[in-house]
Amino acid sequence: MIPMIVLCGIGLVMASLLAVGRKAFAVEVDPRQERIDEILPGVNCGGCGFPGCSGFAAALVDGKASPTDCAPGGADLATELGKILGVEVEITEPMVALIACAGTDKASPPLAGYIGQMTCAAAHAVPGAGKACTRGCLGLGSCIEACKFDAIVTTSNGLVVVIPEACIGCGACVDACPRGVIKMVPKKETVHVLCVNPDKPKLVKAVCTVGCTGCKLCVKQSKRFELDGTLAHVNHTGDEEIPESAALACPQGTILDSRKYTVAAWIADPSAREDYDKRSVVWKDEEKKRKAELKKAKA
Amino acid sequence: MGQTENKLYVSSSPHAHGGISSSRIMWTVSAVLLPAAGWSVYLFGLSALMVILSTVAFCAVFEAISQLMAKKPVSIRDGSAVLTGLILALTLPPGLPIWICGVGAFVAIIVAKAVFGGLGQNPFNPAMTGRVFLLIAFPGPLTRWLVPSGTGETLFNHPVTAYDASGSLVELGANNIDAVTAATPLGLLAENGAHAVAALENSTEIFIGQINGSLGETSGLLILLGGVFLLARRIISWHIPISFLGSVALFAAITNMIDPDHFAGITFHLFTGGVMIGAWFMATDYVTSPMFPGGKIAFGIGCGVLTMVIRLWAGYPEGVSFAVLLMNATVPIIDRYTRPKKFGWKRMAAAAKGGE
Amino acid sequence: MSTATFDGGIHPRYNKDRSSAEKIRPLPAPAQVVIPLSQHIGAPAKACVKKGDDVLMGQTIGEPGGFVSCPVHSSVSGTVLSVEPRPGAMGSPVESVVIENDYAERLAPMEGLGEDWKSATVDQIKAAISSAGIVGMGGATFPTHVKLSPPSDKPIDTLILNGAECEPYLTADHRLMLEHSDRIVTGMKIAAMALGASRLIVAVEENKPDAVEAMRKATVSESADVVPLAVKYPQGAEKQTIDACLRRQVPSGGLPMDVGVVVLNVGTAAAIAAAVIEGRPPLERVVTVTGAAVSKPSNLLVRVGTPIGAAIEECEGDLARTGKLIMGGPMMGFSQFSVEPPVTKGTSGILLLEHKEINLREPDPCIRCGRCLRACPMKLVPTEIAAAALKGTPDQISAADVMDCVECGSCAHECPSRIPLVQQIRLGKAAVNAARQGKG
Repeated sequence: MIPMIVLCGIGLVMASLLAVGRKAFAVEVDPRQERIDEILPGVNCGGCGFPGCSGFAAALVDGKASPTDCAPGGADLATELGKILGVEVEITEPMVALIACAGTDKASPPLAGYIGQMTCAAAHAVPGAGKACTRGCLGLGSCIEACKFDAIVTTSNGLVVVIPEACIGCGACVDACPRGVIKMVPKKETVHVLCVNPDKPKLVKAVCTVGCTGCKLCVKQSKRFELDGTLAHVNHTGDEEIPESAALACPQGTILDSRKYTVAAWIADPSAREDYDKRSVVWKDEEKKRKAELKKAKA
Repeated sequence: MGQTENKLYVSSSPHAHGGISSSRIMWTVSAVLLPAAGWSVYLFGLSALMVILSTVAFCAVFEAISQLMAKKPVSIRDGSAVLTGLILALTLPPGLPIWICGVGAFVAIIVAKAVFGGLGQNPFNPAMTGRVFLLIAFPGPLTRWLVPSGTGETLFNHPVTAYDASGSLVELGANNIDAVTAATPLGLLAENGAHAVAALENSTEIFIGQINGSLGETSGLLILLGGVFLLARRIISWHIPISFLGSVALFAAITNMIDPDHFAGITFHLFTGGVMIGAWFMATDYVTSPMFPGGKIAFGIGCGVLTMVIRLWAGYPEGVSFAVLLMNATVPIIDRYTRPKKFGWKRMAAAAKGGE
Repeated sequence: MSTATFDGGIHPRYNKDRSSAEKIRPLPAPAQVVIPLSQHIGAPAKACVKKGDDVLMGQTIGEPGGFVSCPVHSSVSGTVLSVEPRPGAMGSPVESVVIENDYAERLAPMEGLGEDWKSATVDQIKAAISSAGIVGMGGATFPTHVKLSPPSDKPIDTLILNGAECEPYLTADHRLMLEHSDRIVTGMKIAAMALGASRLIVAVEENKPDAVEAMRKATVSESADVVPLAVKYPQGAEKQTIDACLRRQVPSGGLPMDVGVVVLNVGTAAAIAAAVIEGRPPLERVVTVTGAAVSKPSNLLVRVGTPIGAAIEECEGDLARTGKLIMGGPMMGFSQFSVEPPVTKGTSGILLLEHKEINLREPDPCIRCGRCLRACPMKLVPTEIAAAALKGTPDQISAADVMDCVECGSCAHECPSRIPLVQQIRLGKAAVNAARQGKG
């Protein structure tokens, strides 16, 4: 009986101490921070660059972060945050990650087998590991590890692809890639150049069948394409719709037209490539005819 | 373009490997325990064999289940679960019901290992955790010590007890005896003091192992030989076993000198109970022991002293498994404070001075 | 007295018997040499020839790109075909001079100091070594003239010639000591004079008793000691050799000169002799071509710039049986994916391992067995460095002493779980270096 009483007594004393302590040593928190904490997604993706969502909330209150920095929350959250913080929020374009490489293990076959740490950074440091192209995706999936939203998956042919619907644009995968293959692109962008190899066309052709050789045929189809040395890319600032012919004109098949094929199908489904090849041949024939007629008309 | 027809492999250096593998270590240690296991089967017959086989089998099955659940590759073939099962079995008394063996295996593999992340992640020795759990949960069955065959109606001149299948005491010589048991030497020591085991001191029986106790406790000699073999093969280092045994011996010598009537001597303490198997096979478990030489010695001494303290003054007659588990908890701290100095840590002046 | 050695280390299978009895023989110069402009640690050399130029054997084709840099010379006479990036031993393409051999062996004029070197000034000797482009021939390829120019506040009292050759398989230094011991000793004397070192030591692992004997004979009239070292890897690592010979530990982050020592490879010493006496740059070097997939293991005298394929062909290496093609030794060498890369000044061996020697098993989890830390010659804790490298911040990685690692490979060689510890540690080093550079 006595032990019981003693134990209960100890419990009571401790509880009252805790209660007093809570009041006495309460940490002042900006009430806005608590409200922000409540509406943040709570996924702790780290995309904002702060330690977790509560870190972001604190940074917001301190004015060190912008309401638009939370990618998972998107525009709606940014507006809400702006209301709480009492600041004007300029809604930015939602972005998604893009693995800018179509070099499957068939397109860019490996030169040797690789033994060792199965992370991209480790393989990248071993000469001859991975595929023939030393610029493209290694396919070991370090970006998958980095992605908190299961938005990146491996394909059966040595690549990884981002599922745009699942990607919230936090950008964590960009830093995980030792080769800088991953780009952040506007979600609404429809056409992409899937190559990051800046090497001379001869070298690119030697290591990959779908690498960009800087032939400028895409630039002729749309002003939205720009050339950086011998590597084409899409300028995302323009509004102009990119015609389907841009992808069809590419002699290497480097350009993905996501209005026609999903990125996953483009990389992993052979029928997508077959379909593209057929359409490309038809388009090129028509183009030839048109040019011939043009010549005739001129003559 | 320079690509040879066949497949070359590339990797980071080194390109050569010594050839040793974790699984070979595990299987070697398991094999080294087999003579002691065989001896217990010779002494206790089927009742020992069943405990060994069922514990090993349960451990393997639980390992497979836990790995399947964690969606990891099943690695029964690496031998670690089998070794855990074998060590656990050797700490159990012969004739233990199979289902209790299963509970022990569950605690060892699932609770002590898998939940911490599997091989290499567990802070506590799985086999020891299993045994201690059983000892606390099933004190009765865990302390019913069968008498080795051929030792007759008395063991070391002390009475043996007979049970029938229902577990009630019956007279020796009754027809339907299920088990004949007696207190272990350590039990006698704890109950009656050193004079009760005086006859055992320096007797060949405890050395060769014609005594009762857990399966692996009986033959100190075979365990010792196995341990020395591991030492010779450089699978274990001398630090833990020698400091463990040494501190037990020293402790026994001092207490025995102070009061020989109350405290037993060195050989008795070294060769009874789990000290031998504990020092060579349990405390030396890589995962749950310190990594550095100094730490290993500290760990061994800690195990030895705790074992003796529990044996001589605590409620249990034997303390090896408790001692090892308690010391397991100290490994991170030991590792932190016993890290050797790296090459070239000395300041330049000291290095130049110490040079000549 | 027990044989001199260091703490830690391992006993790999040496496999030196295959080639240790093979006399050094020259490999005919190839029709085309590819001479990388960066065969040394430091700034790459700058090409001073262009496409179409006629070059002589021994002519300088690349000027040093800084103090820690080296000139590069043509190893044949002929015509420059191009100056372009070509596959190098480290995998990535390196700027190289491609020269078509005219087989005329027209030598460039060479001016050595002859036997007068003893009366030459230290600066003259260093200039001869520098313009010959001599680098550490043991594989480290650090420019030798830099090594011979320690700052004045670091006096050098001891010169150690390193003939340990602790890398398994390799026998190039062994043969050099047997066949050219006098050359090596001459080079040692020249280097000692340049350094002002009074104590001379030749360190040889005792698994080469004939080399110990040969070096003893060659140094009989000198004040040099030949020290037999215990057979243990990495006995030939600079810091470990110094520890074994002198019981001096190079401080963490320091260099041998911090304890008054310079270590030179025996091959480097021979090259110094040729450079100073004859003014001849290292145009060729001894390369051990060996391994289970090589039918005629040999020690070849190979022109710098010869594709490794030519050496493999000469020694009847079977590429179809080869699982791993390594430039250098099995512990610290570089695996290759083609036979194109050329032999450089630092190429000590070409090793062809068979498919069955390649371990393709996935690593097991670490079981904390401690073999790696017993093996580590730097007394580090490889598992902890590797764990930090995989999961830690740059600060945590560097707190685990990652920068003290010499990447000798002992830990990974001993790991029963076959964890690629060295590779993980390299990742850690890269992360720490990146962070340091980021800070400025």
